[in-house]
Amino acid sequence: MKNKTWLFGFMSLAVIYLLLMPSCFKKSANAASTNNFGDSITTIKSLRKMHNLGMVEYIGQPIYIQGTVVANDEHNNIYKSLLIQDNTGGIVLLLDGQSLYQTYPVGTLVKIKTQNLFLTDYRHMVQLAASVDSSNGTLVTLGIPAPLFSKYIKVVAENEPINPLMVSFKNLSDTLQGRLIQISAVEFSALDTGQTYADKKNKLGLSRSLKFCSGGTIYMRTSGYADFAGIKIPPGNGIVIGVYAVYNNEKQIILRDTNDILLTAKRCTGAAWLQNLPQTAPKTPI
Amino acid sequence: MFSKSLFGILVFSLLAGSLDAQVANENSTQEGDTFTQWNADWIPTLLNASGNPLYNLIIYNGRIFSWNGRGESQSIKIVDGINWHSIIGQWSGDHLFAGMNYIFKKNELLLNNAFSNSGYFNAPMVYVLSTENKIQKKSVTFHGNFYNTSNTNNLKSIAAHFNSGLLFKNVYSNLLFKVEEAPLGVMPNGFKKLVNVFFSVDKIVDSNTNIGISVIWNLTDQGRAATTSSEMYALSQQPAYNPNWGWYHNKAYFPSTRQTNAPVISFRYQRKWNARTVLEINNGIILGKEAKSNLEWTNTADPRPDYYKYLPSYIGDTVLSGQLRDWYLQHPQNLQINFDQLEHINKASTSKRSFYIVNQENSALLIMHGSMQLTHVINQNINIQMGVQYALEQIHFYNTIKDLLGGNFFYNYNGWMNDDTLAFSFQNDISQPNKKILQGEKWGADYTMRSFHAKPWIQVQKQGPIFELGIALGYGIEGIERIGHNQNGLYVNSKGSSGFQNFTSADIKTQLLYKYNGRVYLRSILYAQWLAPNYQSIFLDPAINAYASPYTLQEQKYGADLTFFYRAPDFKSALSIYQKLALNETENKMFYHDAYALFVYGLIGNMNSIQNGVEFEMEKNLIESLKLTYAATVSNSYYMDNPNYQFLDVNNLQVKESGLLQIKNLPKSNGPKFVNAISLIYQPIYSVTFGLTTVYAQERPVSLNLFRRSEWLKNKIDPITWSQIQKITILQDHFVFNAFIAKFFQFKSSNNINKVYRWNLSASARNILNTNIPIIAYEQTRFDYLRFNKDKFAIKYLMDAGASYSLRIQLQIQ
Repeated sequence: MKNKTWLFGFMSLAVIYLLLMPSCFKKSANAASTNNFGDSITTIKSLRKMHNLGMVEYIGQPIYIQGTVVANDEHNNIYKSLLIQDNTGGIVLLLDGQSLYQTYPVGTLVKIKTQNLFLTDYRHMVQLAASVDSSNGTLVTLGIPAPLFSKYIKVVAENEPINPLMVSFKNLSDTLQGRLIQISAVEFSALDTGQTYADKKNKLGLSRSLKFCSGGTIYMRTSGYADFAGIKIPPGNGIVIGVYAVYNNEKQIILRDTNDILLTAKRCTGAAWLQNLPQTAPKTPI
Repeated sequence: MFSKSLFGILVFSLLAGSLDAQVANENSTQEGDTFTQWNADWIPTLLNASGNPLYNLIIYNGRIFSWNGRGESQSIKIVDGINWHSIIGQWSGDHLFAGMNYIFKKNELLLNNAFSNSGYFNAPMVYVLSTENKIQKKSVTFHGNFYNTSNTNNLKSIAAHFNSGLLFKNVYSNLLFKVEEAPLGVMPNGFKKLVNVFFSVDKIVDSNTNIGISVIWNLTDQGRAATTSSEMYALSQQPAYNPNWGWYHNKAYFPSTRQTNAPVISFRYQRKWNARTVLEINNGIILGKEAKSNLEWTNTADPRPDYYKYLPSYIGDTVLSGQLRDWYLQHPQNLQINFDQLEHINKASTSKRSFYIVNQENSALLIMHGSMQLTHVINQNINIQMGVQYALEQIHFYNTIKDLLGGNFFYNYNGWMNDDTLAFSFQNDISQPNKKILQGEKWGADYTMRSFHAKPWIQVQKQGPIFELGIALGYGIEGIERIGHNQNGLYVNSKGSSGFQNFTSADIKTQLLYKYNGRVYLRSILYAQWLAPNYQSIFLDPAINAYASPYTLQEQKYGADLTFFYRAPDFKSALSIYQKLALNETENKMFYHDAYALFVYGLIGNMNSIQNGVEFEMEKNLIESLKLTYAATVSNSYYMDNPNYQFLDVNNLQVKESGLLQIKNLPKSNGPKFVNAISLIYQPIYSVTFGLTTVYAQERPVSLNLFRRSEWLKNKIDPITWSQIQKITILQDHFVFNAFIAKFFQFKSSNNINKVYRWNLSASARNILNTNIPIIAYEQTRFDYLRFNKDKFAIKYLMDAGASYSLRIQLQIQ
């Protein structure tokens, strides 16, 4: 009888428990994003052609570009943007987020839906932005907000190989904007050797002159926030890899990290060498 | 008749409030369930000073306003005569008793430092609970609770309670087993799994001596609710929205959890020396572990979906902002954390360094509390009680990695430390710099807090035909010590002992009851307290250093309470006027200061505040079976002057800013200024009860962030902007409507006429009108010190889940 009493009590509760057990677990909230990316792809070169310098173009059509991330914010020399290139050209994509390199490491092949974005330029450097505002007389651009990354960007593949484009000074042109380039037989100007890439202490960006032995100068622009901003630039001659950029008419190269600098050879000779001669006093009076 | 109606209110309260408390207040015991025997005698005497109906109406009928009667927030629980309130971390021990509501046999509520037979207590609100068994007839009782809130989930609990009755050799025993579960779903806490075991044995040694032992074991694993901005509630369209969880491998994943595994063992000894003298000694020990887990990250993007930069309101461009708003509405999964993405990032680097982890904050508890109390009745009119409360505590705080979220290791770095100037400043342990922490291993802060506390007290009560007088005194000593177990890269004193910081405390209180006649009473309470500063004020940041705060003055509290009682057979009422003064209170918070672009310790010292108010309550039999209870309160709590404050750079403790806060006359409490509550209880026959209750609260301010209301800021901005920043935010008026029905019946076994089956069934609905009510509302500590936009870091809320329904079944077989 005792057992029956216990059993009766437990059974009563168990039945009610089971009746009321179904939960309201909302699976629907986990539905995968239904954001569709189109199949047709426009080249970055074609997209860039839509832009007129100093103007702003709203992209109302469903235009997709596909490219490989060649530079990002991994070493803090690039801020809130990715540099993307395909076989035809490169472009800056403004993103309002941090640690982008973790989601979009170098070598990531991405497809970008450009509809509702804007083509603008900053000092002639063409970029894709999510918002523009010129109400204060100057153009202010805003990158794609972080929650909307998945709306505009789709990762197609990872670890895509990237080969920098080898170019000479005379080949540097706006068509190379945003592309990873390799320049050879270059060295920092004598004034800049021994200096740091940027002013890390005061967080100020600086440009350092990079001289081609064959003649010509490109400026290496480095942010004061870059990890390597406080490192001294090497004095030698050799190869530099970086992203080609412009600041108005100034040709610039943006370093991704110091591994892209191979200036280990002797400084070059000839006219260029004379121009680059270090301004140090001779050891003995002449 | 009156006690019946109160019983009705209490039943109503239990039904309407208890389960809500389980959901909304994860840390609390279920007050609604603990007062089954409260207020047996309403007549106010020094020996039985009761709480007021207003408090009960508010607390039990929903627990949706987070304020207490008479504006005081501090409350303590006395279990088996032991005050488990801790001076370490303001730890109250509440959650160790959570879910054990069925075992508390004796319940008493003390308000406003009133006298108590249970001893001397100096807190404004005290719950006195006991697990002591009473010799009862052998019985077994089954309990079942089923709770549902619209748009959320079900919570279910079942329990079996066995009362042995008197066994051999004058031993009697109690055994309870309870299981509670809320499966994973869209509810504020996420999920809840709770197993309670309670066992007690009491023995009547002889006619004058009783001994007993109780073991309470509460195993809890539950998610934790989180506050967020009103914008997120609007985007999610869920009053139960919780930004703390997300999707991981197509399943809901809760990184924010709490676990408890800390058995409480208490020993009771009661010795009646003679007819007039009783000695009670109660000692308890807790040995176990508590843990809280959270998502943490370093050197990576903020993963919180409600991070202010991810919200439409952050974007100035209305088109883009609208685009983002639409995106959230169309893709609600983006309002939760994307753990697959976090895992992807953790796996992305060649070394698989985790940037995101689930951290577990552990507290290893070794806690002993006790009390000794001697009661002596000198004569028919005078009795004296004296005793001592004492405590020894040791809590070891340390972190372990609960989940590396796909990565291989996590660097033992202090994520919020600037590493610009000091090479090791961000190292959590400089003896092992750059250590790679694996899953399950310790990292981060690692320290132990120790404390002692001893407080002798005495109270004397004298009763006469016209006056009852009582006076109580207490004097305590306490000390607290920090012991660091690792040397971090920032503070030289992070490792080793800080030595004990010792303090004294003292209290005095008096209570006088004047009996004008059998119906009219007048009671006054006066008290003064000199308290040791609280734990947070003694050390700046015990997790990483042993530096003392500059503000460690003794807190002082003074109060007066005058109550007029009228008691007639069918009408009872009380009117109270009170005032409380608090001096030298402090506040200590660490936060990111945008103007200095670094983390600071914000310290406030010498805060003085006053609270005064009026409370009225009445109970009237409208007809024989219909009772009306009405209660109303007006209260005003505000800062009396402008206190000092400092901002210290966490990197080097240099003073970045100091001055006066401009908070004079601003509200201190976030309780409503005006409350009106009405309860109607209809009991046509003894076994059936219906009840309706409404509570209406007005002028409830949002909890203030005091730091932004500073002299420095006032001088930085124009008067209009300043007035906007200084202005308080008043919440919308709250109106809550609850209802219940209860039915009791019993029958005897057909086979055994001595066997009785008693059924209690009840159903209740709380917040039937689905009113949108913030349980918590506060201004964030972080503020836009650069552009002074007061809306940039929005007010945060925890909303009531809305209409909820519960069904309770109880079967007792005796």
